[in-house]
Amino acid sequence: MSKKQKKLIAVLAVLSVIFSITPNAYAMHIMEGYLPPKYCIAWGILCIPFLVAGFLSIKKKLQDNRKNITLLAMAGAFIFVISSLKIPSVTGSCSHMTGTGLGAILFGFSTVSILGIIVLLFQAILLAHGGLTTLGANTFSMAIAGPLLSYGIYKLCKKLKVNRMVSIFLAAFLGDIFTYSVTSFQLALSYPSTEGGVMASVGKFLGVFAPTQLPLAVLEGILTVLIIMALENYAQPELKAINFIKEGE
Amino acid sequence: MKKTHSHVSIDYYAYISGLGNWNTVYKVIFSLGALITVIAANSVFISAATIIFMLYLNVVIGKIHGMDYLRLLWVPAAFILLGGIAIMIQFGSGAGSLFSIRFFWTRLYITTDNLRLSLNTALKAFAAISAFYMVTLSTPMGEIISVFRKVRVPGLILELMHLIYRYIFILSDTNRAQKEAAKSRNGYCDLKTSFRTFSGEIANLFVMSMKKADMYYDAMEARGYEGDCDFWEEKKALTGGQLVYGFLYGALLILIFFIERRS
Amino acid sequence: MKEKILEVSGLTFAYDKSRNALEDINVTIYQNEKIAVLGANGAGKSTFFLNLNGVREPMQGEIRYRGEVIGKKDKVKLRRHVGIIFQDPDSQIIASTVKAEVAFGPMNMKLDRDEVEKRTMAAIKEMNLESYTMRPPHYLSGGEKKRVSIADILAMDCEVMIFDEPTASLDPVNAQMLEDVLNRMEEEGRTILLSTHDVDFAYRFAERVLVFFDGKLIGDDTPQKIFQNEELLKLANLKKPVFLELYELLREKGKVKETSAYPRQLAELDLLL
Repeated sequence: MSKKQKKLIAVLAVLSVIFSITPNAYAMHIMEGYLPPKYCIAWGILCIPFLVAGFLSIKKKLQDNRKNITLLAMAGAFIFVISSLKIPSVTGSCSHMTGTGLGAILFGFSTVSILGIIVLLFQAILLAHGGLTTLGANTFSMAIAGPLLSYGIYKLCKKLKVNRMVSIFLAAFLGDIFTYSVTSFQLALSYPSTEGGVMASVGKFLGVFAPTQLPLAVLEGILTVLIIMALENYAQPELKAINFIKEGE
Repeated sequence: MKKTHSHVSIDYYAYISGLGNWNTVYKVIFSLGALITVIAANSVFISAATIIFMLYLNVVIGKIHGMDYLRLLWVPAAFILLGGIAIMIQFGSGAGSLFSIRFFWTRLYITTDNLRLSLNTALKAFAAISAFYMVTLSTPMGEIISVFRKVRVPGLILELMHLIYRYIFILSDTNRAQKEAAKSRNGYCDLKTSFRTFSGEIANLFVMSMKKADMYYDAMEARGYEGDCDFWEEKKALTGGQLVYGFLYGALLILIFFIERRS
Repeated sequence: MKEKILEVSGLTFAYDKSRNALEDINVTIYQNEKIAVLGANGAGKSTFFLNLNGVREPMQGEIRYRGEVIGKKDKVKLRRHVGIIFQDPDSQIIASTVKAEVAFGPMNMKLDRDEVEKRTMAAIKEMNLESYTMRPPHYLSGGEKKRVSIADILAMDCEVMIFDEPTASLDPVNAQMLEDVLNRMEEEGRTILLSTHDVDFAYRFAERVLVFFDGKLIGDDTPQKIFQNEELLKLANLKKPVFLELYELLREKGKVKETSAYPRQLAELDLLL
């Protein structure tokens, strides 16, 4: 066997290992134990203002009508369940939606932050995706940064009268990309490169997760468009019913 | 008891675990203490000791099948592997590297330090997950929520947690039925159809969930619910037997700490 | 004369302005009655039940419980006496274990811990669920969930037990179990209201039948009278119970003794042969 062949086989082996595991790759939840304590705490603190705002807005909605509690809980369960569904694929590998974009468009940003932290906690407890010490960091990237961008883009596009399908796609796609970038940044901050420090490290984390995250973001964008289109076709009353959640933002 | 929700097997173990009768607060403190020790100590030996100790607790005392436990530990493997690669491989001039190859305009290389760091991180992650599993694999969600109540998480959030937990299973049951019905009508025959079916399913699930929410509220109200959910919490006694394991783990940590300092 | 428990007068209720879900319902329910409520889907049965329990408020008319008008403030009190077992147990079950689930009602009644535990365990025992006490509802079968949903209301010790289509989607074993439970509750002196599409079951079980059609109460009588009223049956789209048809056929052919009391069980028919 020539040296070249050996190298090729080695690369193939690594790839096959990666692809045999990635079928289980969820959105980028930072795993339990992956962040040093100071970053666990720092990211947690950064979430607090958003969570307090979210909590107050939910509380107000419930004061208006107590019945909204089951609606909100259903919204949370809905986000959990769609993020655990396998996206159909040819190769048989299974990836999952993050549901951030869809959640932000349907339920509004401030609601999603609170539902998001509960969903992330449940994913850590029930599915071992993410963790307790990394809950702050994951909440920041997936329940705050991603949805905030998605919601912002969706609203901006609406104002600029961009085609609806395009704006939904952009909101979901960019929300995903942003989440993935924030996560890469969070990891890089904890594990800077020997040369080039944090920024070089961001590049590495972005690069390593790109093969799974980029196609996933495109898929998520397309699926979100399809879902919203389907809903607008036959679920007008239900869409109206959740409008309350988005009001006052 | 059948395991019908395959994707939430952790939940299933929580109801059959041998650690199920342990005092919940003690269990959470134990697990959280181990978790924090592992990430704060940042030591290969403490990580390794925790992995083994938790393996013993979860498999021998908790009576979770060994293969199932290993399979559960494997869940975060993809992340740990990819993250490990990103931490391990450096690019730049590559001074003092263990191994290096040319990569476009720069070089990819690994140094001993990077190798050690990435292995240490992986080990730490597995140890932290093992420690967290000690609680999640043995504690039903209702009890976990009761601990949140004890640390004064607002009642509104606790109520949402209770309801979301319950609805997750209702919605995934609904989705499973939808999926089977869709398959029986060839809804997943090719990729294009699959995407349409998949998004239709999710849209449908949304409509169902919103429709049901109203009825579920009625059912709660019919049983005297007036706006604050108070759930029954089982009291579980803290016994000497349970404490022994905590002391053993603590002693193990102290032992490792001294050995590490002397060497 | 039996005691009056619930008196409904002039009850009208609508979900939206275009159509009344219930219109001018007048009915009095007495202690220890066994009542079957019949009618097509959407005829108003479930809405009627929700009004009886105070989850829905009458837009016109009033409901009296033991002579007292149920106002806005007393709704919670009403729920201690009138309980509903919903058709789909999943829409009723909310807690994460069977015990916590059954304890939900008593906890809402603000009873002390010992009393909650006592009632909960008694209800669990009565529904034969002891081995499931600590199990989460999502690992139970359909029949087991149904039993849990009945235990829910038993633990509240309600005087009136309302079953919304209890026999729907039950297998024969669980259907038999349900009938036994219903009979036991009657012996305990409770009042039972149940809605069903199963006319044979209604004929066999009930002492009184209410028929709803399009939000109105169009029939309120004994099973024999209701099921012999061909016009009513046609309007409400109901079939005649097989047992009643059989008895009428036998009587026509002169095979049975003439009596005023109609047989409802095989044993009763046997005595007349």
